[in-house]
Amino acid sequence: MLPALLADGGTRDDVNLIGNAYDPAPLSVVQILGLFVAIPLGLLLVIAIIVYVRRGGNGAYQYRPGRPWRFDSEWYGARPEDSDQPRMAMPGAGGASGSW
Amino acid sequence: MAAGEAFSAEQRARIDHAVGAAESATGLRFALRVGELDPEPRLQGERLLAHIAVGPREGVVVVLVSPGDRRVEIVSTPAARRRIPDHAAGLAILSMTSSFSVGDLVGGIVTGMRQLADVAGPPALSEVSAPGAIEGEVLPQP
Repeated sequence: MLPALLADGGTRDDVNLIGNAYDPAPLSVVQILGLFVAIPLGLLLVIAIIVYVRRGGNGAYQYRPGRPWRFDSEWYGARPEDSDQPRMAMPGAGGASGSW
Repeated sequence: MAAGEAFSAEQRARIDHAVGAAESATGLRFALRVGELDPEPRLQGERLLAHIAVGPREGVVVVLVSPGDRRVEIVSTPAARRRIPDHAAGLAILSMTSSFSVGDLVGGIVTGMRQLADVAGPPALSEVSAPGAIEGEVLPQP
């Protein structure tokens, strides 16, 4: 493009390659695919990579209230022993509960 | 069960650290479970408590968080209840749910654990099983 703009008068050969304003040379199939498919796809890929990297890319679930939670339960700290019957009743147990 | 993980490794480390810090600061045992709850969470909590605690004199606190049901339950043994009264547990739940309601599960859990540990305070000297159990604390000499 630039040589075509710099060259005045259309005396050079590469000017003829792109034609002129009134009669542009037709693009080949490869050029069309490159311009209208490969470049947009490449941009899309770059944006997707940026979004993935910014999110951390750790694959962790992004919890929002109201979204379902379909994971196996996880324990932290002390955990119950694998037995069916409780050791004994726990009268006077305290605590509180809440919802959001 | 589902594709992906519930928490990242970094989030798991934060939760582990919060639970461990609460245990070492108070001498109580904390059990945190993140997952689905039964239709009767209180009963489920007491049942789990009985499976964890040796008896009512052992200080154990069970915290059940169910993001799917949007419910959180704290159950404590009588010994733990003397250190963490029910109204204090209710306050810890309030601060947890305020984080949960904006989608910050890990932050809510960490805050709740810290608050429970603050209320319980350090263990009484009679409860310290071995000298040096509390780091940096010097036992009084007779």
